[in-house]
Amino acid sequence: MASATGTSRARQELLKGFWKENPVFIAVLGLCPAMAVTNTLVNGLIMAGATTFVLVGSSFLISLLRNVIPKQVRISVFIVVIATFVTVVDYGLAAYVPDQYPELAAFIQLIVVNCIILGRAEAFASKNSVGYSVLDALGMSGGFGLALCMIGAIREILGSGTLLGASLFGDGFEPWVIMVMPPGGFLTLGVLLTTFAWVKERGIKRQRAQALTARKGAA
Amino acid sequence: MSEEEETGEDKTHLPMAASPPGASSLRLVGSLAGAGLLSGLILVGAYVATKDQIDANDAARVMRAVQTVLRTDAEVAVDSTRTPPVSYEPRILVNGELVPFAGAQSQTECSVAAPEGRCRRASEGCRQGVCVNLIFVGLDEAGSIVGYAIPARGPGFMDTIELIYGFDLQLRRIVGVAVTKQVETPGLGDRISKDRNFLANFDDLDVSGEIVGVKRDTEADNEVECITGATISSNYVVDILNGSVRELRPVLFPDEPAANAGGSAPDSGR
Repeated sequence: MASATGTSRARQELLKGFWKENPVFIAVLGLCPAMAVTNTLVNGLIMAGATTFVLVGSSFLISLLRNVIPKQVRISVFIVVIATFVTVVDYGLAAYVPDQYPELAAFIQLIVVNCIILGRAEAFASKNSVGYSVLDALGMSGGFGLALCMIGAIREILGSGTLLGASLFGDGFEPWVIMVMPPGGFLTLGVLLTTFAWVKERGIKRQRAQALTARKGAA
Repeated sequence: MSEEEETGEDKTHLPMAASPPGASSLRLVGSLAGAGLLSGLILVGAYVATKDQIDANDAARVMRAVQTVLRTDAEVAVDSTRTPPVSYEPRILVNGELVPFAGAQSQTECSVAAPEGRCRRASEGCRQGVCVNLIFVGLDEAGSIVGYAIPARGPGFMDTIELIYGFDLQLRRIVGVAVTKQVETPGLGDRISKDRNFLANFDDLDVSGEIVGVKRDTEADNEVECITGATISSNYVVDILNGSVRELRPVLFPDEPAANAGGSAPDSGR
């Protein structure tokens, strides 16, 4: 599909990360934080925010310097840039979100090895303009955040009976405790991956059926 | 989008001498050095910008822990054998005596040249140019000491563990522990901070001798049941407590005859 006008392409680059090319459910990347910090919705939101900062910042900087960084050392330079942003966000969270920070600390530092960041840097930011790179980063961060929020909300509602700390069902509710433990992360992710795959499959089938009827109609 | 890159990829198969102009060793080293330099500057800036807030957060955590470990909640007030403290006073151990600590007199860091300086940790005070642990005494309405909230730290599985423990003077036992800083394994060792069953071990702990960590249900009052899957971290907490109690024994048990000291005057630490 050839890219159309500027704004149309901009829209496409921004929106693809949310659904069509969702990094967690379609590209199956960044699963470690998707399962590790989604025991509550607020933890998922903070991780999504931190990853957005790192992804947008590093995509911006790498795209800006894409003609300056020699190819042979590009991965090393990407990692230095990404690690710098991650450390800045780590200090920021330790300073301004001190109550949630201890639970998230180990995983914030692991954003460096989140495949989404390096993947977008290598596949997109190093080869496209700053504007489109930032849009791509925003879209991918949005998709990642959407995934974390879905998983986090499901796990918190079923596993603790709360959402953002507020009790939803009252005292009679027996929480499904396994949902806030590691197996719950795998279960939720598995169900959501299956759902996305099924929806995508249905979409492909519908497109094929439409193409078939169009051909029959033309014949 | 990637056509130009594919021709670029082929060049990596050529020997070094034939590499394209502009990719000389000097440029490679320069790029990495430049990236490192820029990164270093940004990191130093971020560190300096957030240092004070992070220290303030840690100080707040320490003060919250001090108030938790001697338990001033309603439960304790109902228990007639213990009096909850109404106020806390930081004190510093000087020649076996607990002397009130006035706080840092200057903003410079504590050193031999600045003996009235400031220690970064909220649980420490500057004494003769060295940062030493403070002891927070819990006072009742009459102003008499009912217990101590004592900071202690030691090695953990991943890095240092810092905690505050409460020692009740009437019971002569540890009555609570709050871990203020740890970086143990998430989901396993880090449960030493939050696992209620583990922390309940310290609600009434006999420290007349050594505390022991056990992997089964506790049988004696000096036993601590380790967290399943986090025995090492749990035992490090036990070690930290044993070390601190051993060092402060003359303060915590002043009636005991000094075991190793020659004279009758109590000495701080051995």
